[in-house]
Amino acid sequence: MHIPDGFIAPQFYLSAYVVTGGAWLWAARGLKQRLDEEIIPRLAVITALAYVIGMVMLPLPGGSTGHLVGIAMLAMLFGVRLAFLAYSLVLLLQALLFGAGGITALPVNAFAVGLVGAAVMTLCMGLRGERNPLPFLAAGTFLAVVIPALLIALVLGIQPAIAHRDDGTPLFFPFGPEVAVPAILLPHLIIGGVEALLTLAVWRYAKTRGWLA
Amino acid sequence: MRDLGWILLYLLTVVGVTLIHQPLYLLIGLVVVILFSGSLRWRLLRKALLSMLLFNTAVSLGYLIIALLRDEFRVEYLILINVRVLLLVMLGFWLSARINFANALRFSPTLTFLTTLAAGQIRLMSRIINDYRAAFESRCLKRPSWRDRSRLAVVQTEAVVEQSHHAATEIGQAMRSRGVFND
Repeated sequence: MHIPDGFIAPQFYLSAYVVTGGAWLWAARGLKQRLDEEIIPRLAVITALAYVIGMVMLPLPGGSTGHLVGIAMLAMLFGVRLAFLAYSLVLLLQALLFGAGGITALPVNAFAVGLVGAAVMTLCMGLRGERNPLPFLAAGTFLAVVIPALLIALVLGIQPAIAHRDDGTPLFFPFGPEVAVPAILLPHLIIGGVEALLTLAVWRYAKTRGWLA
Repeated sequence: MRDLGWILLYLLTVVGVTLIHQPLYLLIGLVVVILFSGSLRWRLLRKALLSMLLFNTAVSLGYLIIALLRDEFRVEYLILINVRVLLLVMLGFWLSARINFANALRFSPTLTFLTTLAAGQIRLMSRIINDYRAAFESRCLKRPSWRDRSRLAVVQTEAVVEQSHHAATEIGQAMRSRGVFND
């Protein structure tokens, strides 16, 4: 799902840093007053959880595997702000330590997956009823995977229009939305479905442990 | 502050690299980074090539096919995008090999705590995931079914979620008992 470094034009990623920077300030604002013995270890541990959740391989039909995105699960357990901050910190660590994602792609990945994904899941959880919450949780997880994937595909898809040479040769990502959207979205439709099932299993587990509000 | 200076230099260099669209200049930049990487250069280069392999191969092959079909193929683009990505990834690895992130974050004790704790927990939880995977594989004589692999994904996730809840409590108590929050 992550966009790697080098595929987004500077005029786009620098603007994205401004927008996502505002979102980071918003997410951290409430926490700043509460940076105490509860919040610091909690945020650190959620960050680690966000990282390793991406290591869990999802079995896909046909014998292949994808990996868990995990943002819906994080939002379900910890809320939008913590999920967004933890996911952003993971992206930063991945970019600087493991070469995955990248520093130029960080604001787009953080905004799309960390903020939009978490917000979609939280919205769906807010709509759920007490009697039958499972369809809302499943739909929330599915949409928290698919909508960020669509956003990322659109961001990549507009790069040829933003940055190209006079003869039309692209300078960054080469494909328009007509190629980028189906290429990125279709695998995520399957990943979203499988992740929804897994999130339901974790939700049942978390509920028995009393971890959910 | 020296490490923080390296991070700022890295960020400026990254922006500069994305503003250059001549493959030759990027290639020269790549050679310079490789030369300045010292004894680690081949290890970093190998790591960088491996980390970009999947996405760049997919994009390059996709571009090759689509551009040839549309009669728009430019080999210069393929060189540009691959050299640029390799240079950016190399710069990132070079930075992480050169600096100590804990030192670089010294200006903010909270951020230092957060990053150090998160890095430690990542190692711990990664080991849990790998242990579960190894245990699962060692118990499978033939290719596991979709159902079994799904159950593995569920128990792995439950284990790390549980670990994260215990760790958050334990770390908080350990920090409090050592007077970290007394200032």
